[in-house]
Amino acid sequence: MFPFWIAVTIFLAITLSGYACIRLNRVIQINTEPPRMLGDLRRNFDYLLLGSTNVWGRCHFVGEEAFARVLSFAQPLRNLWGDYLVLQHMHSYLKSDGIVVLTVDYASQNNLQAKGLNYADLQMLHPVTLSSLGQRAYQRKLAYPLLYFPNYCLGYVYYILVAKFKSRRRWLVGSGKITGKDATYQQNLSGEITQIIKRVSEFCDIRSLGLKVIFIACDEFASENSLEIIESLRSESNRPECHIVEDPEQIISILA
Amino acid sequence: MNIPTVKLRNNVEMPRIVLGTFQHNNRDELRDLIKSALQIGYRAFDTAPSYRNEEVLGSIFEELIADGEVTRGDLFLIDKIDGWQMQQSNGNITEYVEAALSKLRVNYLDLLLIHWPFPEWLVKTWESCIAANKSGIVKSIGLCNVHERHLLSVVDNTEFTPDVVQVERHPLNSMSGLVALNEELGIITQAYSPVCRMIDKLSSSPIIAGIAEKHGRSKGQVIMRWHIDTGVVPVFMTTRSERLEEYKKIFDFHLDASDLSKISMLNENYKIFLESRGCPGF
Repeated sequence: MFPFWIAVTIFLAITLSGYACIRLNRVIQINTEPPRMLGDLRRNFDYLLLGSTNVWGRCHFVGEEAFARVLSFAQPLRNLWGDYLVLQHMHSYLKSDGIVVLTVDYASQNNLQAKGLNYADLQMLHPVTLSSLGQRAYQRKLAYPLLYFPNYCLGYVYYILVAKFKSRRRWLVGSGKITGKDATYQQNLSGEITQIIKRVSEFCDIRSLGLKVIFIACDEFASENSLEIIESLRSESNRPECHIVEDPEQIISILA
Repeated sequence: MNIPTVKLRNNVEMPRIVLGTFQHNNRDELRDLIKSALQIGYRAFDTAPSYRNEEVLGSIFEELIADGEVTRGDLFLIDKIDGWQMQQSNGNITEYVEAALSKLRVNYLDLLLIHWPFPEWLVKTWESCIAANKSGIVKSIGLCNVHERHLLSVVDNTEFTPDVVQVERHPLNSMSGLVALNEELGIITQAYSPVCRMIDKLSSSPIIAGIAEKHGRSKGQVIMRWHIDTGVVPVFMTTRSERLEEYKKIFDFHLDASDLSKISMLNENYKIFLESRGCPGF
């Protein structure tokens, strides 16, 4: 006969796992939601930060005072296309001549190339945008990240654990270098980034918002690529202010 | 004293103050509120599909009309076209107008507004609104939550000027540019959130307090009168009948030029409702 204590243990394990999943699902859902418009009445920010969280996260721990008028919608694993969609949805948090700061982080391939949107990005977007993107039954899906976005949830838990048990700065510094640095790759990468920056720039220009694009150039390849993009933007009538930095902490002086 | 009216560019008379119904969908509470409002003299009511109360309002108005408490001609009903409707119909919103009439149990709307200027469908939706206006099922048409560039784009593309533009406006967000443009084009501006939910920075303003004391009025009355004296029609929300009484009493005094200027100088482009969150790509 099946021992009673094994049955109890299995029952308890299933119950506790279920409870943990429900809790985790809720925590991820709440932590990725945008601010509640009628609950959080902060408005008219000077800067809106988009781009790699590796960079912005690192900046957040330096000089909190300097960032009092800064609102960050940076998220791990978001690509530049996602940044553009989030900008469309969140730019009204800026004051009338506020500045959008877009980071192009060569230390994060995802930031540059990945297609598609992760759970946190989808949480940020308007239902009409989600519908335009073909996200069906999004409301149900967004309510159950563990079920519908398991990869994102695994990554989320990983980042939280690393941040908890290791130095915070360590995970924020980011890892990974650009791979496949041949000429075709470089051309494609520059083209894709330039295209998004042009769209963001035009968007900001129509709305009288400033735009600073900051390239985080982790190596020689990244520096060359950044310079190429800046050069191709030079002919634009509404070209953004561009910077290349090697160390993310240099961004602080750019925003100061 | 009756609530005065303002003549729109198409000669339709619109009450100079409107009761909004956002966040009201309990039938009994809404019925009591509307009944009180009608008794006090309010005639204009504002709703939208996203408020999820069109059907409730329809049944209330039907009941009040059947009881002889009001006639359809006395009412000024404002409804809107929401973003998802613009998207799903690709701008051809006729079926949604008909659905709104059916829910509100009326055979015409006094004013139909496009709730948010979703850029992909704005001009097409406006053309559809013009068609509804010409067919007579909508007496007047207009836009909500627009800036000058949206308004000019719509007028330039269709050569049809809106009768009304409704935006968030209060002393912390005076929208002077848009209000001036509306005036130039003969458009009446409606202001929602007219007292900015009386947040701290407004309720604690010594300027508003000083003007209120000078006129022996409440701060809310002074702000509502500022709208009236700057040619704007406030669209306010309340759950309290005392507030209905309070705001009815804004038509028997005036603010002088100095008061108006002091209130307008409180502007800091502060908005409760962030346009881009209601309308991505705003």
